[in-house]
Amino acid sequence: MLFAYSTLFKFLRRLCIFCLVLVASSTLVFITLHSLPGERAEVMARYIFLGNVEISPSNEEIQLIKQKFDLDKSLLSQYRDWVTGILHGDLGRSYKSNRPVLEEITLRLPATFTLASVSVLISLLIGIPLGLLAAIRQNSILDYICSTGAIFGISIPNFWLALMLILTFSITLDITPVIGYSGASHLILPAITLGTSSAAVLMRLTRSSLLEVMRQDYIRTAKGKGLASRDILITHSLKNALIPIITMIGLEFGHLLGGTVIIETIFAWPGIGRLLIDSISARDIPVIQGCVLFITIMYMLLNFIVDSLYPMVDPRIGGSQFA
Amino acid sequence: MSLAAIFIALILFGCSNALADGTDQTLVVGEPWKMDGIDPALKSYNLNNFLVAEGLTAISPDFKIIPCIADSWETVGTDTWRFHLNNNAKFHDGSTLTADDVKYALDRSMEMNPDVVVSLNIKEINVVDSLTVDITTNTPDASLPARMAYGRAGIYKNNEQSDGSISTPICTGPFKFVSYDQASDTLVTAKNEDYRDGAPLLDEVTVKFGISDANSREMAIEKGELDFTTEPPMGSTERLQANADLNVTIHKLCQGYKLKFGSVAKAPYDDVMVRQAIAYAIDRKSIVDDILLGRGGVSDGNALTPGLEWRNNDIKGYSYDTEKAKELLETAGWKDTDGDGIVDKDGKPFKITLYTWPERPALPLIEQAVQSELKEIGIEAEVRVIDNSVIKEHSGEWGMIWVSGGDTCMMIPDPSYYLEKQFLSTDSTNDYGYKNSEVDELLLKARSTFDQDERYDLYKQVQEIVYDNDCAQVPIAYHYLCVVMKKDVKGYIPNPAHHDYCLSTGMYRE
Repeated sequence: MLFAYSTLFKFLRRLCIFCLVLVASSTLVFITLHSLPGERAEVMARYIFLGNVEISPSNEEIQLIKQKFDLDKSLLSQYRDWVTGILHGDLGRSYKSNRPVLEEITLRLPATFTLASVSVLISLLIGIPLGLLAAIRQNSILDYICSTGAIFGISIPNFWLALMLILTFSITLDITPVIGYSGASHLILPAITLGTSSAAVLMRLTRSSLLEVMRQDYIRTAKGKGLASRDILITHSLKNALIPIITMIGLEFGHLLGGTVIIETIFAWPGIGRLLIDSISARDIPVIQGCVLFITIMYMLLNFIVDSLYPMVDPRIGGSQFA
Repeated sequence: MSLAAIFIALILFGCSNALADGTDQTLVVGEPWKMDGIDPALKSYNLNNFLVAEGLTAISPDFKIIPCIADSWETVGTDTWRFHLNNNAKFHDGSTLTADDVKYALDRSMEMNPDVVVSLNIKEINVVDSLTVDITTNTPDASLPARMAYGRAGIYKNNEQSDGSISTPICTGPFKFVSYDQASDTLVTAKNEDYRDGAPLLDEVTVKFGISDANSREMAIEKGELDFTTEPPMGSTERLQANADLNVTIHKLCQGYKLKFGSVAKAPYDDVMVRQAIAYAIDRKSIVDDILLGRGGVSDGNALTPGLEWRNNDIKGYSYDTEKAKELLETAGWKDTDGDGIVDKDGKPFKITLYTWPERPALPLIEQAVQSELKEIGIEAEVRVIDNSVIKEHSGEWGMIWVSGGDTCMMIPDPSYYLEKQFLSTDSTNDYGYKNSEVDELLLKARSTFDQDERYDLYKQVQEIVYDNDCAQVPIAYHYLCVVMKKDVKGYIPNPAHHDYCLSTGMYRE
């Protein structure tokens, strides 16, 4: 009973923090957007109504836009309108497309989610086994190859890698398409591009945290007991080395869900990142706010999931998953 | 968010793998800019370029205003134009277009899009009978028929959903709207079999909007994923021309690069000799040859592009002449008194800042070229590349100059649109302090002069004053459009009046 109460309390506390972060992040974005250089109505005129960023709109047009979207109102009342909308489940409409913001975001969700998941999967499949190998065979040729490879993986700019992959696989070998979003074949190159750098990070992390664990006394004990080295590796070492790895995966996944503008631009991939950036250029505030809200919620959910996973991996952290 | 979800997503994704096969008369277009939405009140411009929407009038490749939905038009009184609609104009759903539809569409677009309000200058629209509509302008306006050819003045049917938006536009053009996918910004259109001037030759056109990366467009058309695209990377023209599967052409547009002074009402540019010195200092040929790499032409001193009926072709302009530029500066009182290579006057050295924006790749390079050319005549310029809606905030700085591109003189096919914005002192877009009462008088008179030849003559006088006498702005070069097509795409007729391009009804696959 006591346990149940304390869990409930911790859950509520977590929920409060959740809400606080949401309020803080949306407020911050609101203020930042209003302090951007360039008059908002003028930028909107160029990007949305003239549809040409290089033509100067006239003052009449700027005035009409201000009236139409209530931009003359004070910052506070604009913010209040937005919050009222949210509380009624209404994220507003995009200035640019005249469609509900929620629809704009949910439209991009499948693309964003698929790309993020597959990229993380690729980085897991490459990063963890190689990290393991490198740790077991520390200071061997294999270790050096893996570590050097990881440095390349981290340092190669991903737009360059993307172009090289397109050149090799799309143009020269003619296996994959270059741009678009209409099938698994379109997914391969962007996922590999994004997966590469996180695989490299993951590989290095796996290697170092495993090496750390393997220096611990209990591993020496286990060895002393005569346990098979595979058992030591899987049950004793890897499990204990997992905590930082899980944290890393969670962060990486959150980062990918928030969008990867450059890769989305190169492959013309309809993800959240491009939506956000395009909306920022056009000062399409309802969409920007919606995206930020979405990204914040995703990050917090992921954090929550990662935190809940800790006790499963390491019982010493037990019971504190809502802390 | 576990593995199960990942796999479900993967499976769903795998199932949707349907690649359209490159069958006969279809065309896939890769468009650099985004469309982001389909409601014709906001997007009829895109629908117009891809031949779905039409306006009351249209503009031919030789810049003539031609009948479109309206057969003919005439003035009624001083401030009203009467348009007679084509009785064969039918919407894509088979219904006949009436004057009520014209009123509905224009009223709705003006309600939703402030740019339409300002660009069309319409006070009210009155339905006379089912095929006649009267449009009254705020002031007597000879340019209204031309303004009705503006892409944003497209006519569409009332097809509103319960929330007042339109997601399946019904228009009158040679191609019908089929579908629009918001996530991938892709528009699909199909042949309108019942088009009044005969059906187009292509069966289906797919437009992929928002392929903003030039390298991606280039590789996609080389790979065969696109059949038609524009503006590959600047340096790729020759390489693509060598590709036997592709047809690379360069077309004139009504766009240019120019220098615009931050203020011609304040020092140092309130002195026409200083402005002329800068105009003489620019080596336009080297900018066109070395930076635009063939995708442009040297300006003769008139920013209006050659070929326009209302263009003054006798502008003398300012050829590249460093000596003359130095002389002019010296006459204007700018001399290098302290021997540091920079001219000065009353103890103030001629140090200025050039501003440009990054979206147009040639601009920062032109900015640097101008910087070194100004150095030759003793003007030290700092270069800055920033967001162009922010540049305006810097226009008050001493000696500030805009290095500007995408300067379109044909958004609306009438001289009033561009010349008023640039040179009419009462136009709010004129933000650099240019005021010449003679020019003002000519421009206002021309706007309400209904005899076309007389009008054009007035506009030609304006050009002579602003470019040759006043040197109010310094045109540098014209921008040309690079179009890359598959070899078997035929029948494309470029229309320089469109911004940047529009498909032509005669296009087909061989």
